[in-house]
Amino acid sequence: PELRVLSPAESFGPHNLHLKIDGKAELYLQSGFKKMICQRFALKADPKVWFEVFVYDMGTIAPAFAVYSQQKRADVRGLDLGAFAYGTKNALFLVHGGLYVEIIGAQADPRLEKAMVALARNLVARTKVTERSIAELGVFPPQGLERGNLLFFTNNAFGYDKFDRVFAAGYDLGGQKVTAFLSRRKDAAAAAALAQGFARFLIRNGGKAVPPPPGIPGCAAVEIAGVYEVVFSRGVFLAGVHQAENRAAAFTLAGQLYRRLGEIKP
Amino acid sequence: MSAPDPPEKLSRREFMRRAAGAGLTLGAAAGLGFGLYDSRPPSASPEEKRPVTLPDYSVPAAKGRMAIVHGGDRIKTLGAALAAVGGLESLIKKGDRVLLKVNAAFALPPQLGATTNPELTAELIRLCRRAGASRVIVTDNPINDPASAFRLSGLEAAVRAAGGRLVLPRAEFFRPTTLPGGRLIKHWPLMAGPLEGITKLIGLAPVKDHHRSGASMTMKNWYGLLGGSRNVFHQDINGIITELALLVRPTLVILDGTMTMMRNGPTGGSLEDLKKTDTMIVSTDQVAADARGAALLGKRPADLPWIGQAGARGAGTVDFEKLRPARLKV
Repeated sequence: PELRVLSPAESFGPHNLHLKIDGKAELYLQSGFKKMICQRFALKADPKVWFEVFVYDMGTIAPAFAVYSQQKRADVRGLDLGAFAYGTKNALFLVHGGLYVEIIGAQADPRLEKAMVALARNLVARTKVTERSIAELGVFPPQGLERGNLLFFTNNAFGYDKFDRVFAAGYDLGGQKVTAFLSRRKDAAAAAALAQGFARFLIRNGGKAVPPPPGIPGCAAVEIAGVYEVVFSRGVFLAGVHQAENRAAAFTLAGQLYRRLGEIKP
Repeated sequence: MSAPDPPEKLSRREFMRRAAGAGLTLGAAAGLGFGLYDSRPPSASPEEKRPVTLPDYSVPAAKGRMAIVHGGDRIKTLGAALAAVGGLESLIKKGDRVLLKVNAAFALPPQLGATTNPELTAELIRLCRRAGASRVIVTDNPINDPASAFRLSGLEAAVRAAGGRLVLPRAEFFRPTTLPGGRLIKHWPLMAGPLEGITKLIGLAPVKDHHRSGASMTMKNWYGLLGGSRNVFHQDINGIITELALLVRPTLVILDGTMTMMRNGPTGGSLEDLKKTDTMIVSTDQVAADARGAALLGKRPADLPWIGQAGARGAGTVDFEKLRPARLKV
């Protein structure tokens, strides 16, 4: 569909991103935001029908995935615009290399959707990137994995200030909702120390240590506020299970994750 | 994460709240913002500006009135709510000059729920004029370009159609203000120009999630009266919202929870961020209004520290049930 430019392109950096998105700027700033360009377009055939494109340069794919995943809506439709892309009634959201892209329509309109998808395809085709996937996401055991429920936290994962660069994945294990997590650390010693630190953090906050799952050396398990947390390390990876209501499901997933870390070389 | 507290038995809800996602914590916020925070207010313009003190716009006889009306038609729920708090005529007298402080923060279409609903605004203008207001002014100091924000949100057209007067911010409107006993609002630029000669002040805000404060409702709506580099106050968002609630004593607040932005606030972006909550809250007590509004976001007042802090400092009533709000369905 033919488009007309509705407003000039605007550019925002870390010092003034708040002037465009106000309090949401922190989400991007804490994830390494570099620059954002936005512009509005309207359908030539019906100028009242318009959309705005936001292209956030997050540097690399992991931080772009962080802001994408932390804002991801539920009940969305997939888009064939790369590994991380979805559409809602009026908008498209995707990751392309280190770019996080939002295309927001002023309303739900099939003409608008067609135009927005075309623009997104054009942007993806014309913007060369070297990163198209995230290796860590392939580590999560596939059984029960909810592929639309993957997250990346650049910092403060699960409220723990030392948990930076943590990937999390949602699982449905026979009706039990469980979250697995993992994070590549500097070396094995750092991964082990962080695992122990998280366990201590949980206990300081009222958790109670419980016997850990068997077969995972150095593993800690904590019951806190009625849910189970499991944390361990294997090589350079910190990993575990978060906020599981069912201990058996938590321990099963932890074991699968531990074995998977041993099988593959991410 | 802040320094660990002594061991405590956390409730499940409290643990979930603390561990939720990678939301910014105080520690992270301080680390992020330390280099940016400048506690000094902006310096005065070359011509020394006279400080301003906002009058109390509340009507003493109308203290503690509140109505909660359920329904999907904003015009009907607004009308029923206003009737239930004694009618707009009990608050606005012939000749009053009324200012409606809307939320026009973003240059986004009204369907996305990030700004005050234009039809609701138009209706309130008409009702104010019918009650005898000699003038109804609508204003805000948006985050985005003001002209674009008022135009694309539909508010400009709605105000003009209803016979109101839209006032966009101008540099000369801002004068320094200080909240007595305040820690943050000290000689800070306030958009006082549109308030000159105003005798009644009504806040009109949507219910929204907010990445920084947890929610944006009637108390946070006053942020749009601040000028200067007001984003520095994000470092102490609870403090600034509390001080705004002490600084601004409105005649009435209207909290539109017909469609609530449940996530990804304050800008939202997807229609899927919105939930049809069909609730209109009208009150002469802004703390009470926000305390009730929290539930529309699936939160408790305790989840939004600024509500309790504002209440503790006398800005209003956290336990809104004490006001015995009228409850209606239309």
